[in-house]
Amino acid sequence: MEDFYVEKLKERLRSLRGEVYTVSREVLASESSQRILDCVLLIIDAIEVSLPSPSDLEGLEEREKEIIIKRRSGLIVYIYQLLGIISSANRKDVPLELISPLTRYLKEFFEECHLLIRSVPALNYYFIPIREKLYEIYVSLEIEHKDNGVFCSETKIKENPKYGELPAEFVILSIPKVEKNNILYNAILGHEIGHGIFKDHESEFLELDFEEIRRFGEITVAENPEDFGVSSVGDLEEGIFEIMTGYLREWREEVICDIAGFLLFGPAFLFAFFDLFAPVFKSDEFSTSHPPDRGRYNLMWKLLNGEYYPGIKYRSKVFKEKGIKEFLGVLESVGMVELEFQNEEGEKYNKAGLLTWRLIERDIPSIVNTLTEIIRKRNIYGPSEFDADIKNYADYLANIIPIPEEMPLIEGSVPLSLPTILNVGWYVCLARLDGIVETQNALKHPDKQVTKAEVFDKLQEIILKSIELSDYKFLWELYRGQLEC
Amino acid sequence: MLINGEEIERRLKSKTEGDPRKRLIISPILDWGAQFSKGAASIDVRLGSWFLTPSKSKLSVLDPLDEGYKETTLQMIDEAYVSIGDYFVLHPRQFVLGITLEWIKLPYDLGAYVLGRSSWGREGLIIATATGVQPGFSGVLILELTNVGEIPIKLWPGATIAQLFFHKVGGRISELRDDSIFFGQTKPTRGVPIDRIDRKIIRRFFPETKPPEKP
Repeated sequence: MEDFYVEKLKERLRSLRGEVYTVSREVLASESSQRILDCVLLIIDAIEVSLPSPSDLEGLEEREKEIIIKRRSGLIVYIYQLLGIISSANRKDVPLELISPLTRYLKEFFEECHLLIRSVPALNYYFIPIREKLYEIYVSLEIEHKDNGVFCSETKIKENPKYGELPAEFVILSIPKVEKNNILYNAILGHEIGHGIFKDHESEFLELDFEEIRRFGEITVAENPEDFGVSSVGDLEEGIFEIMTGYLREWREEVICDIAGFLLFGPAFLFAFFDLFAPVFKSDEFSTSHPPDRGRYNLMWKLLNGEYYPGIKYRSKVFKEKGIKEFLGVLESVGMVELEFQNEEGEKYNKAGLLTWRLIERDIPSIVNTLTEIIRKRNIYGPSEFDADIKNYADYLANIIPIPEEMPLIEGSVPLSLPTILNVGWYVCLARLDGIVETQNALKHPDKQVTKAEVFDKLQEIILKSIELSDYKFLWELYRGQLEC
Repeated sequence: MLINGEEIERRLKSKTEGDPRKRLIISPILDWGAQFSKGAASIDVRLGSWFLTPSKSKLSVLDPLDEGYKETTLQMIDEAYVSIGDYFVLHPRQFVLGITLEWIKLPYDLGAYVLGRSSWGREGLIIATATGVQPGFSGVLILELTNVGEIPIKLWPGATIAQLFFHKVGGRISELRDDSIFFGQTKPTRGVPIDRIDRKIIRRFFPETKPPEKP
């Protein structure tokens, strides 16, 4: 007779199989979603095959039986979670025009990836890489695979040859559902791309060992003991450098990602980051994983002004225009206030935080240098691109005309890039909004006046249209080029 | 007066700086060679990705005299986004709203007419019924698509579907006053076919009938 738990697990697997089909109907159809769902089905099949038969369990103690069965039930729970993640990449919640352009843009950095975009009720953009977990499951279920150097394994399940191989990486990008219509916030993706760049090039960034960290800490405290509330290094609490080492590992990556975002998206990244997060999050709080936001704002402000890297200095005269000037004024004032490290865990942690931040600040020029080397020249969005884009395209957007390609039109106009569209979009929304409201109202019957909010929403629509149409133009040229080859 | 292909091209490529509202813009043009011929007096436009279909199971009747007409019909239509590479099946006698892929911006001295391409017409696809485009228009063009043939037709976004003929506007050129919130539609939209004032007047012809009072 079948064991009670095994029988119930089989029922769960049957339900899960049904759920996979339901999700496959709701989720945005793409090669990536199909591949992920195929892997899920493969795992479900493999779990079912691996469930113990009555003869396997014969003569075993209850405890031993439980261990064998629970090993499988843990995997089932993960499949539930995974399906939950995938099902939010559905047609209702994701701005459909964004899927292809974002996927294409991200693939410039993660060529081997299968990418799925979903929207979630969270105020953040983040990636969920799922390859490692799937790999673990493959190994634990003894699904045979061939290692191709990277983890691009070919499964050898004869019963399911159609499932093929597990790709090099599956990444699920989560974008905030509530802000899904605020297209300009997509510049924040630059930070997430930064995480991918960091993982691929970690060894190229200067890494300090514990002794170097301690030495830096001791010198810094000795030079400015009053900043740390002590009279000499010897007064510092024990273990402070160990805490600092932990912070440094995580914070440095975050700062590298911020700088990557700035190099990829220019001022649009800064505008998006500050506009979305500053009103919501406390500026001085920090955690093991993230430095205080105030420090990050200050860093971006300094980057904008070429303090860390003179080659990237925004002198654009548009920064003096009302709207942008006000925005940057707030950013500057927030960033310039001295950081007060606030952590519930206590004074020792605050001191470790301050020391870590000083060390990161010291290394920023070297981080910027390394990043500019890594990010190919053509991908860096700098001051000259920004000035040219504003000059060439802002008037179109300010007249509610999308900017998918070079204007004025020429035969063979090049599609505009995502950073170009977002930067022009930010500029127009910050500096030209009042002017658009005025122009629109001048054209209208007096009883049908438009509001600033209506103009803002319309601009978002036009920016989205620009992104959609530029993607079509890009892909059309790509495929036509392939045909001609 | 229709303007010829050479003039259309000249206006599209004009490098004159200044107010973009005074320019002719058709963008993106995915393939100049295929969409545009100097010998012809028109430019081909492509099918865009958004479709609007009435949800028949929720609609009993369309009555433009209804006070809440716009709101009611808005709730009873389904939107579909079909990206290039995918298709939308238009069944016999089915009616949907589609859009052009291109954004069209007319200067104030040009008007335009949208006509279906004859090759589609011969398959039973009627492309547009409201064909006039006002001077100064800016937005995607909304296409009223009906399959009057016997066989379902696959509509592929990205395919050339209609052609635009331009003509010069005579008389004094002036900027239009716009009744809608904006030109600048990015998706198919529905409007109210009968003007608000007309609606009120027409209603007065049919006063509410009251039961006769008891003697």
